[in-house]
Order: sequence, then C-alpha cells, then structure tokens
Amino acid sequence: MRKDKKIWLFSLLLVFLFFSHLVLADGGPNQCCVLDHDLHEIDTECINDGNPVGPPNWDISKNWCDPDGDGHSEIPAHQTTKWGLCCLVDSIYNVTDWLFYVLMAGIAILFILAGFFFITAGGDTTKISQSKRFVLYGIIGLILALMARIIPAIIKKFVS
Amino acid sequence: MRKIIPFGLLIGLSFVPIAVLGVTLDNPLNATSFEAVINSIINFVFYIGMALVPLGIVVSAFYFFTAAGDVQQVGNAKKILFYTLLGLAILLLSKALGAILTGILHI
Repeated sequence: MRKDKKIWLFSLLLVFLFFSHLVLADGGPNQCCVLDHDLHEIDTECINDGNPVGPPNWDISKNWCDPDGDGHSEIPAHQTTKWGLCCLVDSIYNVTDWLFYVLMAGIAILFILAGFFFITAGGDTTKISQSKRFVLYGIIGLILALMARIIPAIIKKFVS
Repeated sequence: MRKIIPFGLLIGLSFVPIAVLGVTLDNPLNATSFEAVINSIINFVFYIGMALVPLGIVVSAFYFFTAAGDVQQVGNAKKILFYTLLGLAILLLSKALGAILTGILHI
C-alpha cells in the first residue's frame, strides 16, 4: 500500500515537472480570464463581452495576461480587484454547465431506454415496474437540473 | 504552551522597528473599518456558495438518474439534495442576518 502511494506521488511529481515549463515559460500563469457568464452582481466590470477581466493598476512588466495563448500579453479591458472571485465563480458555473449538458443527454437516453423496456416487457410486471422507475427518476433528474438553472436567477433577483 | 511564548515574543519584537524608526505600513486592504472587512469576507463566501448550489443540485440529479431505482443510491441523492438546499437556506440567512440584527438593535 505504501509503495503504491510512493509511486503515485513520484509520478505526480514527474507530471508536474513535465508541464511546469508551460506555466513558467511565458511570464507565469494568466492574471486574467475571459468570462463565459454575466457576473455583474459581483462587480460591474465582470461582464461576458469576450474581453478579459484582470486586476487594476496593470503593470505590463510584472503582470501577464494571454487568454488566447498566442504568446503575447495584453492589457485586460476590464480591471477590478474582484477579478479572482469572478474568474473562480465563472469556472464553477462552467463545470455546472457541462454537468447539465451531460445530464440532459443522459436523461434523453434514459427515456429512450424506458420506452424500449416498456415495449419489450410484454406484460411482465417486474419489467414494467422497472421501466416505470426509469421514467420516474428521469423526470426527477430533469426537474432538479432545471431547478439548478433557475435558482441562481431567482436569488440574484432577491438579493440585488 | 511553551511554544507560544517565544512565538509571541518574536511577533512582539517585530513591531519594535515600527515604533522606534517610525516606519509606516500601507493598508493592504481596500476596507478601512472592521465591519467592511467582515462584509467583504461574507460577500466572498456568499458568491462562491451561490456558484456551488447549482453544482450540488446538478450532482444530486445525476445521482437520482443513475440510481434508476436502487434504494440506497436514491437515499444518497436525496441526502445530497437536502444538504445542498440546507446550505442555500443558511447562505441566504447569513446575508439577511446582518440587516435583521441592525433592525432589531437599532444600531
């Protein structure tokens, strides 16, 4: 067990060493990000208009911002002290979006499967009840997924 | 306990040059009062929590539909959903609590 852990740690270290030059080569990690969601309730500068959001008092010799990865640093169009929070929240929303899309595709497949089971059951009560459960939990999942989309909008209305 | 004393002395001694040489420190925060610091921390946690609530709900939906009737898995999904919504309620309360308290105490 301990030997396994050592091997894992060592391989992690190797991976880090292998990719570290990507982080360190071009003036370090990006100090900006292009938002995919409108987060103006956090800060009025956090808008998803395709321009990067970065920290204020931009120093071109110290700070680095290269969201398109062409090797040239640019000055962020939106500058605010809350850029880090905006970027973090935006990436969490991105993860949620991806899960949402996967869930939608999964539920569509689940409904098709349920229909298939209904047809092939042919009066077998256990199979029919199983396909009913498929439909039930598919619907619950669908409602929850839609709720996850609606709740942030409602809260934004209430809070701001 | 014994470790704390030299540590405290070290911190205390680090303030000596400030007093003797008249060194001034710039405030690294944007806030100028204690309330503002607390408020900005609350806002920070609030916005991250607000981003995590939909994630939790989507994860619970995922558990629901992959369970497909397995009672234990459905129980898991219900737990995730319940605690996510509980967290949401507490988050909203934390935002309102300050206003409620100032209203009651007339500060």
